[in-house]
Amino acid sequence: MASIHQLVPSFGARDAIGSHTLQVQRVLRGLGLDSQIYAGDAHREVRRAVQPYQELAAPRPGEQTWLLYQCSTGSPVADWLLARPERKLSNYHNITPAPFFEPWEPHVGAELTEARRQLGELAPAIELGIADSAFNETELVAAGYRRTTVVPILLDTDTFDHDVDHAELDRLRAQKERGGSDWLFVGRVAPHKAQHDLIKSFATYRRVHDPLARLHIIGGSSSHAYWTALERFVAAVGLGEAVDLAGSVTPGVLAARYRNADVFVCVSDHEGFCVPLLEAMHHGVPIVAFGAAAVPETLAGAGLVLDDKSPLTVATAVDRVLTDDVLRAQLVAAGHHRLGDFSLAHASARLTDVVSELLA
Amino acid sequence: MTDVGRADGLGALDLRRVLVEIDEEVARRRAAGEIPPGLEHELDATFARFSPAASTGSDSTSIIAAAERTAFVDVDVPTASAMPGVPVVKKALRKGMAWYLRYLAQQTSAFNAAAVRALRSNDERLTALEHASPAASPHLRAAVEGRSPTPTSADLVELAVATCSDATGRVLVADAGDGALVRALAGAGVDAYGIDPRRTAANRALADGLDVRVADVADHLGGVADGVLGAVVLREVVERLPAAAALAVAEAAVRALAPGGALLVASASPAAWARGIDPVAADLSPGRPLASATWVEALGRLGLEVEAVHQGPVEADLEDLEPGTPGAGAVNANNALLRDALFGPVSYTVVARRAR
Repeated sequence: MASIHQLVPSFGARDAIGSHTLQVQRVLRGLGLDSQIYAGDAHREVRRAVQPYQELAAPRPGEQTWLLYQCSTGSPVADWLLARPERKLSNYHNITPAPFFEPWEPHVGAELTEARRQLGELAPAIELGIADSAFNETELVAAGYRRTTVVPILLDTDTFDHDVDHAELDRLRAQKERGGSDWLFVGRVAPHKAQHDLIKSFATYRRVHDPLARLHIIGGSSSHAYWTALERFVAAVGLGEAVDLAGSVTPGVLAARYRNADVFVCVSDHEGFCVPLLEAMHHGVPIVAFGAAAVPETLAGAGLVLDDKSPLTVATAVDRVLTDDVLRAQLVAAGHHRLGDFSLAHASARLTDVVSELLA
Repeated sequence: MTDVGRADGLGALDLRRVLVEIDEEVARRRAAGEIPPGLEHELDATFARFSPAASTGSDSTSIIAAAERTAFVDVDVPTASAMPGVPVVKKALRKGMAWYLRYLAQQTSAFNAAAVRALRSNDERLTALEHASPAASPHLRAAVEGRSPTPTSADLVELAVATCSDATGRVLVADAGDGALVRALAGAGVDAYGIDPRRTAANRALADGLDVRVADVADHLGGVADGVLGAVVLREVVERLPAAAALAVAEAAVRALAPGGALLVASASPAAWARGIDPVAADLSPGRPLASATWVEALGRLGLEVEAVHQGPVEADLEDLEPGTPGAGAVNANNALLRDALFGPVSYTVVARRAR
């Protein structure tokens, strides 16, 4: 039996790459392949689904074995992979450019620089680089990968339908009854996600359009220094009551925030794909986004994509979406339509085609 | 066109038109003073107060101000503590160590102050230099960058397809402009992609299904591994960059070329460029096209073998008199001199190749 085993630097319980890896395993096993997951480290909730990468046995003579590396960060796993005799594949989810982190978290910047080095060093050894967006594929090509293709990230969009936390939803609705619209952004609190620019746009929007508006920033911190700066910034511009830096929330609370949101605003400077855009589409929340990196590709017309993110431009765009019923309805409809392109069935079929061609 | 809404029968909506209307609305509000003056700058400055110096981007004034704020090394460490008695201990330690720490801190602070003073001096000199260049103004730079891409000439398309047909890696076109060259190469079975820093042009090409990304050629080549590209076509970009920057791009392209890979430098000829470009763009452009002979010299020094210099079509011509017409000899001789002086090929393409 042929085998395609996956290697993951870090395997999380709820993150997009963790669930993608499990879906990839499902597809590979569906093709009759032996497929195990080996990880650098694993969250305790999912530790039983994976094995330490050092325990991967040497291939038996004559056995057709491939190793598929889930690449999104620097890891000793990549260097270890290079020394392995098996044929190698890579599934690239993007590496945040180090300059975003260097001023805030120098050690993270160094890790990301190392990750880019590994990406380049793996290139000659990888027979096929699979990117989850055309943007990421361009980076693989630039890093010297000879053979590349695009397979959308394997996400079960049905899992976006969490049971809503009704207490949270009631609280949010009580706020809304007092007036003001609700902006939402979901993603790690990190310099490249530019939550500081979001706050600037929001402050301008409150000043020019809607003094009662609220901003919900959801997501765990990737940089204590950046988080602290955001907190101090919010306080300094007098938005302490209007901006909710909520951190990580439960799935039920997240569903309530989406259900309550009037607009999803993303002004990230770098996104390799941006899964929360799909969540916003799923929940029928219109999207206004800065067109950086893979964002225009992920949206493909299912959101208002801005060429610049000066605070007044973002504020004006949000106001347009919130006051133009036709535009809002069409963006929501386009979002539902676009979401179909990322259905699990569609992405699984694409991966099946790629793997079948590889093994033929 | 970017249309949405077709899926559910609501009718198509031209998002590009919406974006234009938003831009107009922003311009109108700014002109009408509806946004408080300085609000955006004030927000930037406020966040900069809480940011590490290196994160404040290209605003050198803010960066230097942040460096100045942190230049002085304070030896009076905080002594507060929630634990009883600890502040007293800390104060005693601080007092006991002050003579030692202050000696070190004074030297460090002196160095920091001198370094920041040097930075500020250099910043002032750089600002003065920038003020001497029209390209330093973001508004004027935008006027140049907003120019529509130059159409790709048919002779360049033909030459590039012929040269790149046997490329052993991907072929990069920069600037991709209207995407015509990427389309022609792809149509000929060449694995080509393009980059262009002008978002509108690149998005239009992307919308046409071409592999064209918004990127600056120098940044892009900086991330390309050595020896992987089958060929590189540099067009337009070599006309708008200052000479040193254009040559640096060529050097990066040579590094990225696979053995045997071709580099094509396609440019307007200097005289034709000066005549053909609109005067505003000509005045504000940071660079000028180089002569083909300069590229031949430069590419040779970069280790490439220059295969050919293809001259483009002649822009205009003077009609010679029929031989035998009275005075034809003198008129035609003068025409020849005038042709050399006034007209000539509008463009050229230098084809060079890396050794196998």
